Amino acid sequence: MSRNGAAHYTDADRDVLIIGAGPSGVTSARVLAESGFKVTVLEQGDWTNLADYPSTRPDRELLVAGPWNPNPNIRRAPSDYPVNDDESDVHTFMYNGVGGSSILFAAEWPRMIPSDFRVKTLDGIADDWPLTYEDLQPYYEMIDEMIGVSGRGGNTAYPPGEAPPQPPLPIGRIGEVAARGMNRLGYQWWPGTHAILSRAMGNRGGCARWATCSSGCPEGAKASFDVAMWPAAIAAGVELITGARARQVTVSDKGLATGATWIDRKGVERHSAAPIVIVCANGIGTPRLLQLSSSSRFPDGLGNSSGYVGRNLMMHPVATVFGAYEDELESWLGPFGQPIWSMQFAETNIDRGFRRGAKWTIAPVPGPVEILQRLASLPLAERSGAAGHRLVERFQGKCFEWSASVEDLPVFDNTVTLDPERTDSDGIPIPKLRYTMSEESRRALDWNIDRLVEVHEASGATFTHRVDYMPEMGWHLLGTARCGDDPETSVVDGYGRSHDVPNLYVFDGSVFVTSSSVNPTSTITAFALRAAEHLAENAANQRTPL
Amino acid sequence: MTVTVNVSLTGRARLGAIRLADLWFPGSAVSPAMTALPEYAALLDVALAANAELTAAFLEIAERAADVAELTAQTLENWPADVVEGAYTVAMCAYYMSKAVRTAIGYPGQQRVPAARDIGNPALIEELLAPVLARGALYVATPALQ
Ligand SMILES: Cc1cc2nc3c(=O)[nH]c(=O)nc-3n(C[C@H](O)[C@H](O)[C@H](O)COP(=O)(O)OP(=O)(O)OC[C@H]3O[C@@H](n4cnc5c(N)ncnc54)[C@H](O)[C@@H]3O)c2cc1C
Repeated sequence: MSRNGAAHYTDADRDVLIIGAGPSGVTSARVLAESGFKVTVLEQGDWTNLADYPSTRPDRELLVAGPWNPNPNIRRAPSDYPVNDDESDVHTFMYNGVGGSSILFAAEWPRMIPSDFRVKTLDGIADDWPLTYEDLQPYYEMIDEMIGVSGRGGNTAYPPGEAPPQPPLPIGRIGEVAARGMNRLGYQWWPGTHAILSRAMGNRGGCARWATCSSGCPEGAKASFDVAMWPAAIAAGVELITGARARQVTVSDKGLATGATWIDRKGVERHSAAPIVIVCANGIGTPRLLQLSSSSRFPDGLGNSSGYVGRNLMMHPVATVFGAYEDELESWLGPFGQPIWSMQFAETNIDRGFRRGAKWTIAPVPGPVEILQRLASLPLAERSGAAGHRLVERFQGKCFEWSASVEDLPVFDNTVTLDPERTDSDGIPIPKLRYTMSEESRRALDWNIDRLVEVHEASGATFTHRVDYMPEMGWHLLGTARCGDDPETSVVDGYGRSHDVPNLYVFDGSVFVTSSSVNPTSTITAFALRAAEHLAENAANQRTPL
Repeated sequence: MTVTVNVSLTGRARLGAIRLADLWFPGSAVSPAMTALPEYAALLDVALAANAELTAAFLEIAERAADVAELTAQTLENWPADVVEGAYTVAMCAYYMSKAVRTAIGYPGQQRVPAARDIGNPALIEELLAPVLARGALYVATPALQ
C-alpha cells in the first residue's frame, strides 16, 4: 500500500471514497475534488512506469503473450484477480493499476450515436437509456478537451458539434487504400478519432506512430489516464491509495454506505469511511464488489433489489479480415487503432437478419510476427519453413486488417457472479462469468465478415483471410449494474446513483443499458463527468450516514 | 511487471533448438537461415528470457526434437499442438528480432516516426472525403425524452 500526492484524509474529514483508479474513477475524482470535495481513491494496482512498457523492446510480442497480456488470467500480476471464464465464450481483458485498462487500450475514441440510447423506441429491443445523446454531448466535449482528443470534426455519423480539439493523426497509406475501397462501394468512412495527442501537450509527447498502443505508449501521447488525468486529479487534492483491494462496501443499519473495507499488500485489513461511496471497478469488478458486499440487510448483494447486479454482461464480439495488397503500404506505422473507421452499418437494417449494427475500423499489422500470428489458423506446416518465409516476404508492409465490432445486445443470463470455490490472492471470491454469444451476434459477425472481404477486394486486396480472435476479445466490459428510471429493472439511475442505497454510486461501464457498437470509454467518462457534476450540485440534499 | 526468466539450455536442448530453427526458418532467396545468423544464440537467449510459459514449451519441444532421428513437419503434428505452438512462437520472435532478417524483408521495426512530421496530406484526405461529405449525415435523429 502507498499513498500518492500530498493529500491525506481521515475518516472524519473525507467526503467521498472511490474504488478504482481507471478512467471512470479518476475522472469523477478530479471533478469532485475541483468542486471542493475531499476524495480518496482506492486502487488495488500500482503506477506503471513508462520505461517498463514492452512497446519499444525487441521481445515485445513475447512479453505481450505473457507478463503484459491483457488477459489477467495469463498476466497474473500481484495487482490482478483471476476471472473464472470457463463458461464464457469470450475471455475478459483488463489492466489493474493506476489508469486502469486505459494503460493497454487502443485509444479509439468514438462517441455513441444518438440511436444507441433509444434502441427500444426505434428497434423494439432491450431498453432505452434514461439519458440521450444530447444530454451527454457537452460532457463528451469536456472530456475531449481534458485529455486531448485528435480527429477531424464534422463526422457525418454524428449530429453537428463533434469537433476534436487536436488535428487528426495520419491515416497512412493503409488508410488511403482503405478509403478508396470504401468510396468505390459508396460507404461512409472517417479519419480516426483518437484519445492520442497529434501535438505535444504539457509533458506528454505527440504520437510517434509506434503502433504499439496496446502495450503502453512510450511517448505519453496516448491518453492512458495515469498520464492524461491523474496529475490534474492529484493537483486538485485527490488522495490515491495504491495496493488497496476493496473487499466490501460497508453499510450502516439504516442501509446507507459507510465506506469500504480493503486489504493492503501485506494482507492487513483496513477500513476507510466516507459519506459517499462510488464504485468504478469496471463491468466485472463492480458487480463482484457489490455481490461481495451482501449483508443481512442486502442478502442478494448491495444495491441489488432489482436482481440486475451482475446481469446482462455485454462485451463486443469482433470480426476481422486480414487483407494483403501488391503495393507497399508501410503497414507497421501507427496509430494502431482505427487510422480510418466507418459507421456505415451501425444503424439497424432488419433485412440483414439482425438488429443494430457494427462499427468498422482498420488496423495496421506491425511486423512479421504479427503477420504470422494473424495466419495462425493455417496448419503450422503452411506458415513455417519455406511456406512461412514466402508468406512474410509477400505480405510484410503490404497488409492491414478490417474489423467489425458488433453491438452486443443484453442477455439476462449472461452473468457475473461470485465463484463459490475459487479466491484471489487475498482469499476473496473471484468473479465467475457465464457468457454465451447470442445467435443474433453470430449472424451479425458473419454478415460483416462478408462485407469486410468485399471492401478489401474493392481496395485491391489480392489475398484475404478471416482472423478469428475468439475467445480473446473481452476488452469492453459493460452492462452489469445498468442504469434506468425503474428500480425494478435497473441498479442505478441516470446519474449513477443506486436506487436502493442513496449514497452509493456506480460510474463505470457497468451502467450501460445497451452496448452500442463503438468503443465505450468516451461514453463511460462522459457519463462519469455528468454524474459527478450532478452529485456535486446536489450534495446538499444527499442523505448520508453521518 | 516484466520478469526475466533465467534459463540455460542443456546440450540436448541446444541441439534440438538448432533442428527446430532449421525446420521452421531454413532461409530463402530473400531471408537468411536462422542458424546462419551470427547472433543466433544471443537472439534465442533474449527470447527465452521473456516469457516463462513459452520458454518451458520451447525447452520441452527442443529436447524432444533432439531425440528423434529426423525432425519433420509431420513429426511435430504428433506432439501436443499447444506446446509446439508455444515453442514456435519463441523461435519466430527470436528470428524476427534479427536486424539482418528485418532488412532482408524490408521491415524497419516498430520505431518512432513522429506524427507531426508526417501529418499526412490534408488535401488528399479532403479529396478522399468529398464523396462521403456529399452524401451527408448518416445518423438517425432520435426523439427527445419525455
Ligand atoms: C486491450 C484493450 C484495448 C482497449 N481498447 C479500447 C479502445 O480503443 N477504446 C475504448 O474506448 N476502450 C478500449 N478499451 C476499454 C477501456 O480500457 C475501458 O473501457 C476503460 O478503461 C474503462 O474504464 P473504467 O475506469 O471504467 O475501468 P478500468 O479501466 O478497468 O479500471 C478499473 C480499476 O478498478 C480497479 N479495481 C477493480 N476492483 C477493485 C477493488 N476491489 N479494489 C480496488 N481497486 C479495484 C482495477 O484495478 C482498475 O484499475 C480497451 C481495453 C483493453 C483491455
